[in-house]
Amino acid sequence: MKKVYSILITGVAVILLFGFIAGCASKKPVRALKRSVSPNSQIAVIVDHPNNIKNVILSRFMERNYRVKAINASDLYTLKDIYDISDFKKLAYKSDMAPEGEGQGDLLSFEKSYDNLYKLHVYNYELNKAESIAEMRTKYNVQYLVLLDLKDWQKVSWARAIDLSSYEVIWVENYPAGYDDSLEDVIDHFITSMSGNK
Amino acid sequence: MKILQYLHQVIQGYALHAALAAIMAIALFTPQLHAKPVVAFGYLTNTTDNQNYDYLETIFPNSFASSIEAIFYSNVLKPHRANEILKEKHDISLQKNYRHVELPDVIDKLNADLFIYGNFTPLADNRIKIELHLYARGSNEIFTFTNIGKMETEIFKLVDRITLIVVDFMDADNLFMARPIKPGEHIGIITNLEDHELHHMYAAFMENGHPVISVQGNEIIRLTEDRHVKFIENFKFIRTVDNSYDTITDWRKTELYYGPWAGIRYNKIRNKLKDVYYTYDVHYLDVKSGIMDKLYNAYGQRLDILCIIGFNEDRDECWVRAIDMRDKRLIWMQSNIKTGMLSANPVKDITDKLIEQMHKERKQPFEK
Repeated sequence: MKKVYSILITGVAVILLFGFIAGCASKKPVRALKRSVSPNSQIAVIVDHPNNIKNVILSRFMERNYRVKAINASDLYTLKDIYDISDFKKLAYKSDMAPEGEGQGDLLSFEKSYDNLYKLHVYNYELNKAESIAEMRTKYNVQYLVLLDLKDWQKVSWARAIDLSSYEVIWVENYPAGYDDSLEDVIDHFITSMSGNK
Repeated sequence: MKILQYLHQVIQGYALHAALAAIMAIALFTPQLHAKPVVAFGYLTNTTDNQNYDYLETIFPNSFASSIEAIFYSNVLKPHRANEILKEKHDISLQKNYRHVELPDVIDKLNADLFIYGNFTPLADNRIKIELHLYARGSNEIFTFTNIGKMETEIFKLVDRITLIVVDFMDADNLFMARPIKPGEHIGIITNLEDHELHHMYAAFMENGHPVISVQGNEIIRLTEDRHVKFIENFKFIRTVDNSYDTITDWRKTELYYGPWAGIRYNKIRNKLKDVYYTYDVHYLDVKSGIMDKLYNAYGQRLDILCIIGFNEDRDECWVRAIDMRDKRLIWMQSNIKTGMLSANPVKDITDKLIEQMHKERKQPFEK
């Protein structure tokens, strides 16, 4: 019996270990750089944090000679701001008590229209975003859009840069911040990586 | 001790699942224990007025049927036999063409599991366009694809080319690949992955020679899913020019009552409802194509391929749909793309599989 349990425990331990490894893997650092963003470039930094944190972040970019445009995440709208699509869940449609197979077409037609409405909404939203980032380039002369999402220690902070002349993602990085990393350290790490000096 | 008992139960649970899976596998790999699935063929209608090609209307489906029967463990009903069954049992004839809403009824009357029909159009320069529809009984889903290629002098070469597409789709991962996606083509991705997970996917594409356009990449928070709705699941069904994988709806069953009793307010609502149905179902393809055109132009005509990739919760399985944004056609569809449970980085491993598949040329057996 003891042998059976030891085998079982070993099995569970192996499963948990692989689960742990898989969990850790997504937290591994990742970096892909297609073109570097050199200092003196005109950038917009999009970050969703309180103003005091935002100021620290922007100041690090400014100190490294990036020309930071005054554009905030809050200046941009999100899908939910323009149209709360989940409200459509409140829509109701009537289905009669027809036997199975009969009358079901009615319901399917409604469901399909409903699903298609979501799909078109997502496509339309992507279209609006594309137009917005084009405007950033033409109206505000932004060359690169830098997106940052900073997380607590041991979680994965990430950043990416988009070249607005080609709409291409040119740099992505995941950085699991260590306990000895300060906010400034994380931002400096991202700037060094983005500028191709890493 | 209680923990051990619990673990024992959990393990037993896994073992049960494993045993069920094993039974299923044995059942699937010993088909002689089961009734053969019936694949019925309708006509392949000649869409031109040139009657010289009419003989192909039955030759094509007969050849497809023989080809499918040779590969799959199935009974096939060729158009002639299907017509006989419909006449004998239901006093109707096999039609040259069917509306999608008529398919559930036809397949029931034929008592078949799969019904395949379509049409063909001879083109200039000795080319031919073949459109096939596949409908599985009870699925309420229809897969349509169009293949344009050389009109072979030996018809079996052409039949094999089309059979390959049908067989790929009937396989476990429902593969449809109209053309490979080559390195250098710009990819835009709509997915339910977010932030750092998304980067594992982006990095893999970037490192394999695919510039990634910032569709969905230009926001901080993923919006393809919220607590109410899984947006991404809706994209599994896709309707594009020529190739589609879609559900069948029957608007004849939708009743919008009207009569002299209807007042102004009622009529207003009724008309609005009609508009909604026309926009989002009946004319959905036109509306969507218009938006796709705008999206293509908004990205400076750089967005070559729009990939929609839906992952499961565990991130170890996904499906993909890819649209060529230049001609708005579905060019790649695949489901059940999995990674092993021992994968250390499932998102990356699955993305690598996707990239390998998208580069692969599906070699037609007789093309040079």
